[in-house]
Amino acid sequence: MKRILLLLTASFAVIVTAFTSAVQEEGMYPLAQLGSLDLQKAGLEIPQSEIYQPGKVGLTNALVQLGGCTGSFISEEGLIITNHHCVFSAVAAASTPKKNYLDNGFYAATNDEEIKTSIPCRITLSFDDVSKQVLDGVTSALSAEEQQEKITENIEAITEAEEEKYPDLEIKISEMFVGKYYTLFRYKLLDDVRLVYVPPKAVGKFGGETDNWMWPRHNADFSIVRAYENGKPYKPERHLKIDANGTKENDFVFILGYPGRTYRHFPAQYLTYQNDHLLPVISEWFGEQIELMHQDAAGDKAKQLQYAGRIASLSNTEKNFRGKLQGLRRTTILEDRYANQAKLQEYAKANMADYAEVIPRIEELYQRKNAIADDFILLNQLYGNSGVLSAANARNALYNEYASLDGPGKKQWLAGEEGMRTSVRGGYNWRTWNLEKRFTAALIYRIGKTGNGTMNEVYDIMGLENPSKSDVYKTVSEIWEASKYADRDKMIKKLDKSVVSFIKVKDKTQAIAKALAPKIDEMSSEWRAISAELSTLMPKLADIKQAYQDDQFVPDANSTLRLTYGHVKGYSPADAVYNDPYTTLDGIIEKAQPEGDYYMPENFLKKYKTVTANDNLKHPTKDQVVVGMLYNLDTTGGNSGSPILNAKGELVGVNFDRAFSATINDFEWNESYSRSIGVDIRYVLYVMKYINEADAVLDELGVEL
Amino acid sequence: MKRIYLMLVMIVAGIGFRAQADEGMWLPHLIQGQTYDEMVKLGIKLTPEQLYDVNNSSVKDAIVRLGRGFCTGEIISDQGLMLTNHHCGFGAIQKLSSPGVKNYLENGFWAMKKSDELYAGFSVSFLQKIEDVTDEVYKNLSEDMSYNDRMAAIRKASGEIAKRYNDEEKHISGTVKSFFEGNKYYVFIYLTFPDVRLVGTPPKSLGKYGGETDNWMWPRHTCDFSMFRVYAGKDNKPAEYSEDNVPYKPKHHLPVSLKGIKEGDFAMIFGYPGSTDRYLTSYGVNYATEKEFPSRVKVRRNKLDIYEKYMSMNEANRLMYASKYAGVSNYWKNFMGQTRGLKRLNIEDRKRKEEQAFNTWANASDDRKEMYGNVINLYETGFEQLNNYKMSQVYLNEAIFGIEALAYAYGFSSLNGEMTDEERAEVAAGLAEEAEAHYKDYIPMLDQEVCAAMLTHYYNDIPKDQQPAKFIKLVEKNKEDFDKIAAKIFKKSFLVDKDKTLKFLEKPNTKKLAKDPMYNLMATMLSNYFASVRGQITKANESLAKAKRLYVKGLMEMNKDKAYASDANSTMRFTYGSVKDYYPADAVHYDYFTTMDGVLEKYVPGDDEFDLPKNFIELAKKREYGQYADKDGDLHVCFLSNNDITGGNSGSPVINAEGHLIGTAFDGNWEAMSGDIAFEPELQRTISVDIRYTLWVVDVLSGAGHLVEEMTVIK
Repeated sequence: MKRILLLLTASFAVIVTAFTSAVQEEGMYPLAQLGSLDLQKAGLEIPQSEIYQPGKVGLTNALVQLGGCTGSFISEEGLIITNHHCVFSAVAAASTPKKNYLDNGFYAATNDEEIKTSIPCRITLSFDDVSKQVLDGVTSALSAEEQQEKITENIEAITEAEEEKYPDLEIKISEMFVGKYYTLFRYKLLDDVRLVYVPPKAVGKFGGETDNWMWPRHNADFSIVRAYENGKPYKPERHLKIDANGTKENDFVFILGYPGRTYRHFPAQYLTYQNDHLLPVISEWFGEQIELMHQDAAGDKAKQLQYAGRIASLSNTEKNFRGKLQGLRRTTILEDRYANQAKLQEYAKANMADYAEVIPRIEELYQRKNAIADDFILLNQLYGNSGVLSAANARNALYNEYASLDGPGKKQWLAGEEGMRTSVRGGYNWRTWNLEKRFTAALIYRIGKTGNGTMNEVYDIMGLENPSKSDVYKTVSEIWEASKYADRDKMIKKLDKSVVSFIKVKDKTQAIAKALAPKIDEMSSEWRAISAELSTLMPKLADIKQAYQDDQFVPDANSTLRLTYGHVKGYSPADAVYNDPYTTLDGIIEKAQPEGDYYMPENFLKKYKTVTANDNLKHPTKDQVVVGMLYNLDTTGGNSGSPILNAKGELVGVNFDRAFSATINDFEWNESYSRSIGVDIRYVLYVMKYINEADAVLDELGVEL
Repeated sequence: MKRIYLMLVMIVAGIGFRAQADEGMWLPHLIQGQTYDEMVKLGIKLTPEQLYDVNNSSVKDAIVRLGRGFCTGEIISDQGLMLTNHHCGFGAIQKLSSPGVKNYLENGFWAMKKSDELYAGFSVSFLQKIEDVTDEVYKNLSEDMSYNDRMAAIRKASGEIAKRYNDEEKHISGTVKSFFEGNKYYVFIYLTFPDVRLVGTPPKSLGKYGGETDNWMWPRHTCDFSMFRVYAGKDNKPAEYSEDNVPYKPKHHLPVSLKGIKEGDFAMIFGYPGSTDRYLTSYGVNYATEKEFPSRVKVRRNKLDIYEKYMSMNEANRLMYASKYAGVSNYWKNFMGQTRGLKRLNIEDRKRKEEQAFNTWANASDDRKEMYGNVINLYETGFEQLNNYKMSQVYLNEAIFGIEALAYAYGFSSLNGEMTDEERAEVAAGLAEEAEAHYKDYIPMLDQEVCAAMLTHYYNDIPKDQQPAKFIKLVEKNKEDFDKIAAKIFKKSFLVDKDKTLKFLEKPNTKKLAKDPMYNLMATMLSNYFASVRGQITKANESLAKAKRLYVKGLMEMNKDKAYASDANSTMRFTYGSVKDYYPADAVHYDYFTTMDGVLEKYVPGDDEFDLPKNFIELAKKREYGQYADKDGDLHVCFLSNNDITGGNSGSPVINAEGHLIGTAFDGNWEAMSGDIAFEPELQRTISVDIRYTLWVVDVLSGAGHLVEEMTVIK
């Protein structure tokens, strides 16, 4: 599943990173901090230096970043294992109705049959701390926003200089902690990745949306690709050995990968922002959006197909957010973080005079942010979802610019016509006209309901007072039907002919956009100012923490290579329920249906029921092949496709999701609810051996079954 | 939840067989032999006489039938205090509620003294004794009789037997019931008390906690109980409601145990299970899973969608349709679960194999061949015939009579032209009285939408030659625009309007009634059914009934040593087993009990299904469980046992080895929804409220500790 691909959520979220103290199995450790861990004590049986040692080849050299996912080399000829959902779009792109690789799966028995993709593949070569250089010249004499600009400038300059030194490499400076720590990473880029083995969708995506973010899980979410360099299979410096016997409950395991983003040490108020605003507002709205799309497509197969991808991505986020809300409600994460912060404040007041105002100021800024959050989030959604309103808004802006210019100015302005066309077209579209009206009305109504009066003027224009949802829809419908923007082809023709003639068209929707424009401007600049100032306060908050507890700090995830470790473990997700850490083929047979999310073709089902598999692929106590595995490791979006390694550093599974209760892992790891989900290596091998008979791959892996 | 109360559906009949250790809804007067030995092995300490005795007080005297058997209740004090489920009391509580302070559904209700107890409007019956009357019924039967003659003879004999016992004045009645598909007949003698009063109920948020989401599900955290009191005349005999009535002194009441429950503990349940179909054949299973259940699910889902739309508008609507919604939804989910279970467990195949074994046995000797050789054939042809017509009946039930106004119109058919004016006025007065109750919870706009939807389903899904010609004409004339058809009917019918109906009833005119489009539609549909559908179904059922009777007879002959239990038929039964966990799916284990922590875990403020009262949360968080806490310190909320129950068992007492009450049964689990057709020992569980949770809610949460003092508490 796409499950733990990076979630691109609210694009305007402040990018901040923070510190966390290393408690037992919690933590996504950067390579630079591995030295501080005692993995042997936790269960590792090889020297820690075999995982990573500066200047030497270690297990980390087998790791790659594949698009937004992780992968690892598993043969000396450049075979990489990752998730099925990580190559899903590449497979879809390579498929045609006649060669439907998505449905039927794909297997290249020889190198010639492999199919090229556009998935980028990066290998981390080395890194250096560049905090000092990045923060050079960043002083409190500058305003908050100027400080941010200065940091950006420095990063660009350092990156450019490094790129000149290493023209073949990709250089990227990652913020390990805003305003405090920056690391420069050097990556080798391989831009030729080819499909080798992909299981049929019914096997790789078994359980679909229903099982997404859920345990027990039964899908073979893995695929195999090969990296090429100069047209030849790439020979990695290191590849992972496979342990076909898998693990047993309580075994030590660790994961290397590229986790995307966590919020472990954001201030308590940030969690309030998520809990009270971002999560409920987005999940409720996405829920409604999904419902509206289902209604619109009811009984229309073509539309259902057309919407499927969008609905899947909306519900992935919706379910994740719902999980987080439930998690925040059921745990004391929020209360604990406020309590902890109160202690920090006490400490700062007593011992760090210069810092006494840091936490109160953060509190103030978040109060300001939270006051406008619902409206701002929904307004962003409104302009992202209403083509007519976007067009009217773009037209208003252009019209105002144009009107303010004198003759020569106008002429000069017109030279930029092409750019203006592109920007108008960008937002001026809709899925279907019905959805355009439905989405617009739904969002206007939602904004009207926040109680902040943002929609007052719009309602005046629409002639509505305290309207019901259906009133809003009725009126939007009328205005939209009468709008000149409804005839998009005609308006685009006008736009293509001349921008001036496009902006001279008058329409009632322009009044709505005009009423909203100043509010949006005001909120945007407020939002930016708050974010900038928070960026300057975050390092100070970290200073207080460091002074107060003097622990080791593990930076929040930021798409750089990390290690996390723990054990294979079941858990109790709810009162009276206990989940085993392994699923088996029994579960597939139980869940299989002739259609829908649990679709399983008869011929595969027959194999599941009748094939006698090798004993080493079986559950230690049940006489059945192991399918999925569960462990208490600390993962997040971006860890998709990460190798799960045993105490000897051998591959025993591929990570692909988290349990529903672990969606709040982004805020805090916890032994009782943090569980990640992987496809067990035993099922990977079973599928390639018995479902598809991908012998060439098994041979190359050197696995005997 | 209402979960396992009895749904009145026409059950497809058929045959099959099987019995397992914990399977069986046994007749209480037959506790002996193999069955009792098995119970002793599982731990029971009581003698058969302590469970059922005609002359002395026994457990059976604490078990009551609610109404005609929609639920079960148990007597838990010497002052007639009766415990049942919240969903069993739901209808009565709803009728006593009105928006505002008296919204007992939402707020709960507790009578702090007896004079505050509220007349509930349903009766309860105590079973006096059971007698075998097979010989008397069989006296006039022979194998060569036609089906109709046989039925008539049975009816006649049953009527005569019942008459010997009936005594209206004393509220005593006798009912003869058929067992083992007509191979046995017993008469049941009941004593019925019409005056029953509401004593207390938790608010709906607790009593229905988890709503539709958790219905049929484990883990469960529903506080599904309500309490009533049985009243009698001063002579302790049944009496119509009167202020002078006094609490009834029962022959026996169940002591309540606070000792707690462990895995493996003996557990037995007494109650009035409605119906099962354990002897259903592969043909019947096929028909149910492929045709009947999917159709019922579809039609019910459509109804629910329309209800939801109106209920989301305001509180008044929600109150009006809460009970109706629950009624439709309950079996909507059940039918889905049954279909899933039957398919998953391959019941059809299994039954087919059993039938083959029977056929082989039947044809192995000439005697048997003559008696049983044709049984399986009879089944096959019977079902073929039934399949052609049965959907017409299902749709008449689910869709056509799912239109509330139409079902209501049916009541008006008791007015007929041949009555004297006086008679007619009397019937009209009765109808006027009913009108109050009907229109109190009625939204014509909603019903109109339901009407359009239901007519659409009927028209599209039923063979045209089984539909009334008049109806087809109406549809064609309106170009299949069902919204329009419904709108026309609702515009013209007086039956959808209270004032107009009351006005009509002042001067009931049967000609006017006949012209009413709603009444007319009802009459058209019904006469069509009687004229061209029912006869065919009856014919099919005749061969099936014979097949069934012979099949069961043959089975019992074939497996002489096996104890067979007769299908449930709303008579008192007991089922025994133990407290037990289960494994519902790959990698998942369900423990046998839930706790207060789980109640709080599920809490969603402001939610329709998972909200909790403020005082409840405060008390729960303090963990002040007092004498109701388990040894582990937690308050246990619900528990599982592997007893065999079904609709009608709702409210049944769960009794331990000593005969003490440990819980109130209220639901079965989703994984075993097919239980009415096949019992699954690995999966089938009964869900009950732990009596300690019930008493904590009564005593600590609601301050009604005086009720606990009435009880015999075993600590």
